[in-house]
Amino acid sequence: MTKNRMKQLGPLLFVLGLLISSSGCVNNDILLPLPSSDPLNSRLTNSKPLPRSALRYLNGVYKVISTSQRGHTLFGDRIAVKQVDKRISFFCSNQYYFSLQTGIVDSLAILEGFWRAELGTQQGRAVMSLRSDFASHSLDSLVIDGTWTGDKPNDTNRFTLQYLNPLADSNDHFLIVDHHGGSNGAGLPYEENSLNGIRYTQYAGANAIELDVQITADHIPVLFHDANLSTNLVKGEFAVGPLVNYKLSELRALCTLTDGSPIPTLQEALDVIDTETDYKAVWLDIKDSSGVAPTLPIEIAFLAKEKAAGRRIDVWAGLPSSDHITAYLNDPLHTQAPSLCELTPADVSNVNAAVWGPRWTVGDLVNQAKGVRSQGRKVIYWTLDKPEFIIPFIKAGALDGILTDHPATVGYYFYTR
Amino acid sequence: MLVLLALELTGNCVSAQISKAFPRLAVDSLHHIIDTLPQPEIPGIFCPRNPEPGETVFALNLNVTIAPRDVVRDEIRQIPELGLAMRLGLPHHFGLGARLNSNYVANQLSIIPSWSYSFGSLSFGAYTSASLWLGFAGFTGFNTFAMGFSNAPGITWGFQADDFLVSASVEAITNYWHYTQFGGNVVHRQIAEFEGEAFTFAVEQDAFGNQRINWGLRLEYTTPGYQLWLAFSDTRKRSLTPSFFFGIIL
Repeated sequence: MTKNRMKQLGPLLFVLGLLISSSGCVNNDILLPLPSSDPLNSRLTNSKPLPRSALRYLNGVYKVISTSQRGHTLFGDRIAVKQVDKRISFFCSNQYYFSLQTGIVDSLAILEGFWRAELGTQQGRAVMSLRSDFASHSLDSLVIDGTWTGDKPNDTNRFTLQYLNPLADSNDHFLIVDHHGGSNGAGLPYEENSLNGIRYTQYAGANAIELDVQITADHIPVLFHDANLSTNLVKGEFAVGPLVNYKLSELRALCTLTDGSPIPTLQEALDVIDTETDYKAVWLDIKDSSGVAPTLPIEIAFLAKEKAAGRRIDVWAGLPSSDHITAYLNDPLHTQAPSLCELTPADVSNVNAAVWGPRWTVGDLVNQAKGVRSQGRKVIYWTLDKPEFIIPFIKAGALDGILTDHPATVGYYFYTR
Repeated sequence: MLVLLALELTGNCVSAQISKAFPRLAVDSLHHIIDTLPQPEIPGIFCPRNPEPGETVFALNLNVTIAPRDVVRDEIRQIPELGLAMRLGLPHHFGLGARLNSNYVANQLSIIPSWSYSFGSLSFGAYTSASLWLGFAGFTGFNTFAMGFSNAPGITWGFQADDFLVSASVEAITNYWHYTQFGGNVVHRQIAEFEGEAFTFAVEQDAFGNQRINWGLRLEYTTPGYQLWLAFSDTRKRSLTPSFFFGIIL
């Protein structure tokens, strides 16, 4: 190499490096499997189911009266206990949660499952129990006793909880909306916007869910966050570039999400929400305004089906931009499709949105939120993840929900406030 | 600074220590080899060797940071910054540097005291980079201001070949303080958190005639740094964040 050529190397390497790294070669996502259970040693084998009404009786804030020092460090001194579907979840102060399956064995109610960090990789198993007729005794005498295990052999720790007071909201009026369709921000081993993510995020604290909606070349709404397919997001070497260039059949043939599951359609996701979850609301984050028209009929059909079945799950078409608002108002179906507007309170009124969804980064906006709520609309801030930012919003009030990557964290601070 | 002073004193004693440890002939040979190596005289911004006392070097750079996807999603992957760097030589191989990296939304001012020692074409340096960063976001959907303080002690090696100054450095970054204002809300934290490590490879050379240029790569393996403050990521995972820089020595 001549000296002159050498001297041109610097600028060339600078440009080359930019091109290579811009292609997105760095992926740090970890999909850590849940701690495995041993069915042979499960105390729930041959157990009778606990009715949901009994499980709901356990809802409350509990004091940790006995555990190891590490247990106090990990889980704190107070825990929010909440029934979710047929399970019980614990939401802890330091961004940990428990998801426990339930059953009755002899005279004991058994709670058995796993605990997990929302941030990081710490996790383990837990087995708790209490007398099976707990619902016929006063709440003040309620004690849940058992053990949790860490990731090392023989790392078994006592764990005893005593009822303190009711949850701030046992009836799911306050919406904890999970970001990105069951994101792995809750520490789950499932890819965001996957059916398993939707199924399991409720146990991590979400009682509502946001789904990212993109549109395929054959106008089918599917769940996917980014506009482009890339190796960071999907497995499939021939699936690259804009998702909108692919028909659904091509997406299914060419790639899966990184956890191996197919990219779900919006219809498939709503079917899972309807039949397998306790979610109270669904926020459809329609990523491009061209996706409004194909999404509204699916939203309307779902709401009609719920109404016919005597159930209520709110579904809102997300309107994050003025282009979305124009597409929404130009669609004759919009009067039947409730929406969530992210722009100003004036825009919320103009489109008659059911929900105002401001960014949290503008502050708590209590006065404007009160005005919007006085019109019978909800206010849901997005996207709050850190406790230090979540707490001021919960203290300020005048809100109906929070969109978050960490539903257990929001759950802890809201239910124990 | 005490550490740097100790290194300076140690450096002055190197010859004496070598004399004690090795036979006279070997020491003479070593001194002869060192003396015949070309002495680096070209000033640089990244090379370990500090400028002569009272001498200054300035550089203007373009830095482009490639943000990890799991922090910023697909929203903004490339974060450009303008960088202004200065070095002032002080007596006894000490130096004082200052760097300002800015794109208005994220800005960092660093003060970098350093000490260096040269063996012919080879040089070694130790420094600490104390940084105050400020972030402003007043556009649609944001009414946010943030700032923080970090410190990054590091060591650096370099050598000169012809008009090329090649250097490599490693530093450990610790955050000490973080303040965020959003609307009328304020939160702040005062806690020492180890953020991770950074590795920098830099080349300073002649190009485009007699113009001195610098270019290189900085790899941070850290929790999200100041350039990514607006993502408000709470991840405790460290991500590999590359930054490319290219600039001219003024």
